[in-house]
Amino acid sequence: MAYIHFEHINKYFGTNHVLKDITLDIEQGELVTFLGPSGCGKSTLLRCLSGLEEVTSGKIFLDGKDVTEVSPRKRGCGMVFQQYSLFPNMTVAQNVAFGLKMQKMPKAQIETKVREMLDVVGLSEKYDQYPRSLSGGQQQRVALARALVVEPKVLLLDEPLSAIDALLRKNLQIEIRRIQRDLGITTLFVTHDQDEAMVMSDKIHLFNMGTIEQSASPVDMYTKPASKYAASFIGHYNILQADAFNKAAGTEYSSGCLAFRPEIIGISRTEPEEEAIVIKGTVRNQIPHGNIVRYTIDANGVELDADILFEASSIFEIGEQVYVSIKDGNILELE
Amino acid sequence: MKQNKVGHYIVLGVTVVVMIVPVLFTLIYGFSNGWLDILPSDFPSFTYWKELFFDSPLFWQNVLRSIYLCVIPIIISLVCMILVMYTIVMHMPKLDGLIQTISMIPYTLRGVVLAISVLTLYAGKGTIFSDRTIMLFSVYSVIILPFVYRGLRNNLYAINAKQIVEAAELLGASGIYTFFRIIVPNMLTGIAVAALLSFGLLFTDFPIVKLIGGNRYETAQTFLWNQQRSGFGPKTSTYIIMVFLIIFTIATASYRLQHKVEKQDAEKTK
Repeated sequence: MAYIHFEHINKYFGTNHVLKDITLDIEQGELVTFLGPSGCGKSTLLRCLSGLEEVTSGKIFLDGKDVTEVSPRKRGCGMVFQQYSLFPNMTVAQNVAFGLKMQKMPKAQIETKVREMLDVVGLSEKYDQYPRSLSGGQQQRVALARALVVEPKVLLLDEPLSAIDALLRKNLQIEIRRIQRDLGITTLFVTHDQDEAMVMSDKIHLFNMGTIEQSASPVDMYTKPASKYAASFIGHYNILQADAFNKAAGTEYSSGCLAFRPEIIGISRTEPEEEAIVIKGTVRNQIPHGNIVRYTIDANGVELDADILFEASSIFEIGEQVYVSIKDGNILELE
Repeated sequence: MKQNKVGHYIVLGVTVVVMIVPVLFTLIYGFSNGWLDILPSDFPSFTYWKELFFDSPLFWQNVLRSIYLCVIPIIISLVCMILVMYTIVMHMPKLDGLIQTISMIPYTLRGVVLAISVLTLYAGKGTIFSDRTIMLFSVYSVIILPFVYRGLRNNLYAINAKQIVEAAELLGASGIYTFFRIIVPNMLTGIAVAALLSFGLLFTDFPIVKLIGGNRYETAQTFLWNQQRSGFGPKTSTYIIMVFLIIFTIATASYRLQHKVEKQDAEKTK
């Protein structure tokens, strides 16, 4: 049996069926991400594992034991919430020490462990400060230290970076991943941000309306989305009906959906000589996105997005006639 | 634009003057032995101030009785509402609207109506509620509910009580431990605001205590009323100023606390 095993989990809130017969395995030491839009059930599954929500039916196994009916206090889950949830009347050290105090650990040992953990998250100098004097990022690191210091069986991160600004968020993503690898702790990370999921995960479980749409490594999730939903959620796939694309490009794909990423599309002013599907089109829009420019091209009646490296010397103007080329092997046929 | 601002200052200035003048003249009157035409006689005289502090046991007794009559209901109301609001926030958020409605009822049943209704229901029935002190405590506990409810509710949501309790629970803390060691300490400012606002309301109450207590109870307010009717002007003025100072101190403290809480909440939402 896997380290964490969800078995036919169903969860209802009133008549709302939030988790639909989910069966899932998670191996020890992995950082696994539950990815999906708001209301898809990802946080609820995390809360079911922690015991903060009861499952309507099904079983949850953690480290080989059935914990479905075990109280949250005894499950051995450490959790970090979106809103930090630090205890405002306690200092950083008291917050981190809280779980150890509950375990009735000797004071000297608590102090050593708290100092060690604050070193790990880089907040040793904030030992005696209150949470209100810390930035959002620092508060979240205290919350992480508080969850980790008790050496939980599993670390649960419920959108912990959502309330933090973009730059700090990127640093914290790397920081959390580093700590997780150093400690080798099994971690479940909930996010609605696909970039965050890509950066942090060993494995991604993509949620859709209470079910798991696809489970895969970040690379596979990005390059081989299993469905139209996965393709639309991961990356910025061009998703077209095969009929419409065949008509525009003169190809013969069987019916269904076709998907291809914007960065595999080439644009040129002259007809390319390489072996690829080539369609003549007109640039309809042009938006710079940092190191790339995203073009929207009307290609023979179908609208395509193409991401091209930002080079000032080769910018295509709106209204310009261009050739769009797509290598056949890069087009995915979806159900 | 500048003209408009001048207009605002004039309106504000006139309002402040209208409100301060009676207090000011009462204060001047307290430092005199009476009015001589339009001027206070023997100004400044400290006769009645000395009497107030050193020879007015009845006044201070009534002030203390007022404080006692305010404090007990405030404690009753706070304890009940803290438990109710904690349960609502943690376990039954859907009932918040109902509790809000119930808590607002005292706004519609102002003093006289409430006092008469309670008297009709309980007076002379020989139950524990027939005791006038118990009756007064009960009525006061109910009448401050809107202040207590609002203060506690905002505080509980501001500290994100539900998630804090969940975090503590996952770290191994029991519900009772979390409530007393984390939730209550973080609610102290909210509790203080609710208590001070309630105290201000109850300390200045006249109709309820007069109707329910009758002549059994003389509080600071009923004492002032009696003095104003039968007492000597400058002496009564010293009493009035003293009561005003007590109420002003409470109002200032509650305003400052409330301001502090709002500032903290604003910082949290940044």
